[in-house]
Amino acid sequence: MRGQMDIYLPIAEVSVNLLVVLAIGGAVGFVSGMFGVGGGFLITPLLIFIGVPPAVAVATGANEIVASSMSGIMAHWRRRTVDIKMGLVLSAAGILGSGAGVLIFRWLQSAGQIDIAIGLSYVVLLGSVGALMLRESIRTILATRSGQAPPIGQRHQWFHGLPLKMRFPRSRLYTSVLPIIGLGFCVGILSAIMGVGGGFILVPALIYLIGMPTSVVVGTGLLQVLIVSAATTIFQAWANQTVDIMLALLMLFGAVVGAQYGARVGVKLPGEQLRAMMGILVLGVAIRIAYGLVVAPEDIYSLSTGVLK
Amino acid sequence: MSARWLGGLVMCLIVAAASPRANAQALVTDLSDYHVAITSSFTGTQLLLFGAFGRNIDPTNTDLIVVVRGPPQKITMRRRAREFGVWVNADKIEFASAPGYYQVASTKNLDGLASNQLLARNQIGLRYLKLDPVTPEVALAPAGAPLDEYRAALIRSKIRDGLYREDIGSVTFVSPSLFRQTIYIPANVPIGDYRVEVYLVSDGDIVSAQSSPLFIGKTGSEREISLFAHRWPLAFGLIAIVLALIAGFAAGEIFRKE
Repeated sequence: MRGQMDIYLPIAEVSVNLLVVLAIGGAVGFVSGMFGVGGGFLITPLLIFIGVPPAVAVATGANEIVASSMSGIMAHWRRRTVDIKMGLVLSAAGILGSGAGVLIFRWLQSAGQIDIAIGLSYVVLLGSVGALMLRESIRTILATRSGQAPPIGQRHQWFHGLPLKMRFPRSRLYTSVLPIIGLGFCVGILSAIMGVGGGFILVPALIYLIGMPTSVVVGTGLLQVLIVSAATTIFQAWANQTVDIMLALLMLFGAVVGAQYGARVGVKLPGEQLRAMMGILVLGVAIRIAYGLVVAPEDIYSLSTGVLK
Repeated sequence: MSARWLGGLVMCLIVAAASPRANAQALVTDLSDYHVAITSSFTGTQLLLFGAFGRNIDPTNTDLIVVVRGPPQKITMRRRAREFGVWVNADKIEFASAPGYYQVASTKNLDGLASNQLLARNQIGLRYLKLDPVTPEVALAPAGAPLDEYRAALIRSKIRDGLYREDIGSVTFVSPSLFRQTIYIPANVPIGDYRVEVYLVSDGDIVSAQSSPLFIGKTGSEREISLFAHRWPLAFGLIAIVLALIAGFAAGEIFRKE
């Protein structure tokens, strides 16, 4: 029932329920604080689900991620679990990637395939990342239970030996920056296309590919998410005017509170269990979106509007 | 809501009092509001249209049609097809101009009121909306389905969003020469200039017609935010970020004590 709790959003130009927006913010914030991801992979689908236009959902999500990752990173900052040097290298590459991603986004939009492209990239990426995380964590949990030492991830891979070596004292790494730049760039592209911060890809990649210690991965990932989503917000507001500040602030309210509780739960849980839960959540979102792509739509026609000037 | 109805009643009386003078003029109408202001609490609204016609018109042989038209939009209709198990957008047709909002209401079934030609000429009824593709029909590339199916899909989609509606038989007579119709404005209504048209129909012909403007726009903070976002987009983006950083920082500090 429409009532007092409905609020009209100035940019999205739709009316939404205040409590629903606060709840979305709170849930996303909780996830973000717990797993050290921005939570964008939840925001975009949820906002579209409540009727916010996709372009506004993607851009506003980026704005909201800035706030939740800011409050999330502060706890890590105090615990000194942020590798600033690594975070800045990742962010610089991420901003470039985000710029490239926006160009791809526009090209797909003009081809009329953006919604399918978003859906497919969600399914492929979330599906594979979720499955990998779940498999790894279950294997480790089982190994620990049977009394064996957990298998150590491949600490050294061929690409660590590439030129341009750099020392990352906080992560206790001495490695080539090229794979780190490559990773940051790819995550930047995805963040622009999918409207996500990219933490759900970054965190496992930093652990399994770069070989960073798990303790600093979450905080460092948040730093990159913070900077790249800030860049995305500015770019979207500038180019498309699709950032709904009212919607972002409302979600924020729920998100910053949720993030604090999420962070507390996250600290208490063992890393492997945390990763298994995150894997299940990511996989769940992927399956839900895959279902939407495969099942016959209610109406095979869809309408998009351009206002006549 | 009760205040609105009271206002409507007062207006109804005014229109009724004015009706002797309506002898000279066949049709007099008034709208409960000529300006719909969209504020943060806007969840859609209803307007009341009142009207009266002169005594020289026989009410038993008279019908009314009310048409509300919103600002024109360019609309792209896409058609999905299954490819490799996934539903992708396969074809599209762009329509040059369709009303962003359209409501038609009448006292009777439209077909019984006037000829098809008359309805089509005035675009009265969803069936008679002029929806022309940007590319002329003869030059249109095959789009997997005929143009008419795309047209039907456009109207279907707009009806689903509450932006097109046909309220046949809903124009009600308050007295023999006084009538009333509700105009439904949903929350997702496009902003801009609207027209409210009232047609007096007798013996299959339009005897008299009235057209009044209606403006739907954002006001207050909604208007300021939206204007700012479009005029100074870069500054808007920077403000959005600064606000987000402050809010995040504040929350981090508030929850610091553990």
